[in-house]
Amino acid sequence: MKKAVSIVMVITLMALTIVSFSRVASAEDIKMVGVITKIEIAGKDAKTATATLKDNKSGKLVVITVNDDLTLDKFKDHRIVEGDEIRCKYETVDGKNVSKIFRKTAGC
Amino acid sequence: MKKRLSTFFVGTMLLAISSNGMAAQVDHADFIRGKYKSGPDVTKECLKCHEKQADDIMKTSHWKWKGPTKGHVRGYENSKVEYGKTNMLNSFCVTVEGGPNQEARGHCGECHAGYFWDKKGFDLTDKTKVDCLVCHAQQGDYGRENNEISDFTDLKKAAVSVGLPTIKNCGACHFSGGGDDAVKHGDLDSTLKTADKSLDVHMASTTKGGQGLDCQSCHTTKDHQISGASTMLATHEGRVTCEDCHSGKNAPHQNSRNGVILNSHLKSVACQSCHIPFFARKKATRVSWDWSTVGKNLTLPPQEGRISYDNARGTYGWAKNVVPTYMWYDGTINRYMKGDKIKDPSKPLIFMKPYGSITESSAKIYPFKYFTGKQPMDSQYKYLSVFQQYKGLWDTLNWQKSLEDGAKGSGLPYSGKYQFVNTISYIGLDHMVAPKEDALTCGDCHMGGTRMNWKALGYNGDPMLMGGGRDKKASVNHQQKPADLNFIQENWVQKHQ
Repeated sequence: MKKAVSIVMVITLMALTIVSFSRVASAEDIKMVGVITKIEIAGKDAKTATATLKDNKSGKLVVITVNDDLTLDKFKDHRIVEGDEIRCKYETVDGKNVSKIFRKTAGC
Repeated sequence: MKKRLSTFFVGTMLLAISSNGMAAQVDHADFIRGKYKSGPDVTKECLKCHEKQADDIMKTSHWKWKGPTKGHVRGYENSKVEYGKTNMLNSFCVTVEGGPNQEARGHCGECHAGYFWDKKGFDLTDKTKVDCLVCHAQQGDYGRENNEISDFTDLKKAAVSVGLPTIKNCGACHFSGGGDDAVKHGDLDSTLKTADKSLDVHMASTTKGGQGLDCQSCHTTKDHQISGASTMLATHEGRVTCEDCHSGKNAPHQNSRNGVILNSHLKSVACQSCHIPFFARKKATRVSWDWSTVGKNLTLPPQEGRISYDNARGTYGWAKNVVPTYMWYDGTINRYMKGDKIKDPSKPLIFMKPYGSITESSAKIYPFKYFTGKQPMDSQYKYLSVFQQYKGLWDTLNWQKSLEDGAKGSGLPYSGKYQFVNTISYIGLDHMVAPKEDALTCGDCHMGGTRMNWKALGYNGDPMLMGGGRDKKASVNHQQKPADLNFIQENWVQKHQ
């Protein structure tokens, strides 16, 4: 009986560890620098947009969801456009890469 | 025998390293061992071996933001005052001197080769302020934001990665002149970082059919003095010409069917005129900036996909794949300098214009970006005003206050009354050199071709039809008198297009 309880406890502990670690992993901030290849925004009143960045290091395309008003304004009035190089920090939430920082690398 | 072989091997390696200029590509991992909290911490490490290089860079215009005029600006040939970005005006952000303590430098200084020139009083003798990484770091996402090292930067990785500057290093500042990508220079923008041969035969990588040259391949350097002159500035550290490479055995048009005809142009037409058929080829460049609309809350549609109105900055015009404006140029410029009087503000002020004419044998026809501005001038003192844009107008939209604060920083008094004046600048084009198959052909300029405004250039018409090359004095004399501000009051409609 003791043995069975121990096994259950160990399994539970392992499961908790895995779950807790996986949460940390998904909430971890990821930094990248890349060039915008596509911006998708639905109209002037949109509260969200997506920007596809080509990672300078890996060359992979990463789709970033942008929700902050300042960056959305920059998309809307074309202060940030396709071809701009961006420093981006994002976290993965529910499978989406949500932007926390989205700034052009150059210019003022 | 073994010893001889080793000596030979070491000697060969050293020779290879020195002859290829590879010394700068030495693996720095063994030298960069500390923990670095700031840029100057890294510089202190660099100085242990490279103190001379710091001394050298501190003599350059990249550091001082000024230098001797060397006859570049007419009327200033014998000037003992040094000029440059630090004390000149333009039609973009206009000045770095705005603010009682020149606070505008906090914005503009992000492209200074030092940490961090954010106001008056920066110590230009402090070697630890030299930013080695901005030009030499190849990795570590090196960057500066708001006068801090970017929190994306891995300083140690950046420091270990130092090597000869690449297009990316130089482009970090020079592609964003005027405050953003492709704004000031029609021939320099971020698309050159991944250029293919059709965009620039020199900068495109060899895998893309180009020459794979870095900036310093043409802008040769000596003791950190970098050659190359701009029509925007008064100083330079040596000139760059196409003939530096394309002469003698490498002279142009040797294998061309029409080589003789093409070479007959070389006395009067610069290489750039035919080989830069369009500028801003992949990304629109700013072609106008009207500061008079600041605070007017206009709603204007974007041009070429880029913002055309900013309530704090004014109205912008953009153009892509633009045909240059062609002008005679003998290598010197007439340029408005801070404090110069404006005789007639109802006419546009020619901010900078190449000097030359059909009658001068030292001048050739060059391509330029035609840029118009509208900016404040002092109504009473009759000169262009210095104003505080950063941490000033851009936040307050208050012209009076920003002009008063601009006067404090620049030492150029403000009378209390201002108005706006139109300006015109001709900005040189030397990059985005197209492959020969895309260069201009005879019909682009002659026999009905519309590229050249022959009359404005001093010809009676297309010289192929009318004759009258530069050896015959033309009926229209466009000679511009040096240092005479009368010449800069031109007809607004005369755009040489």
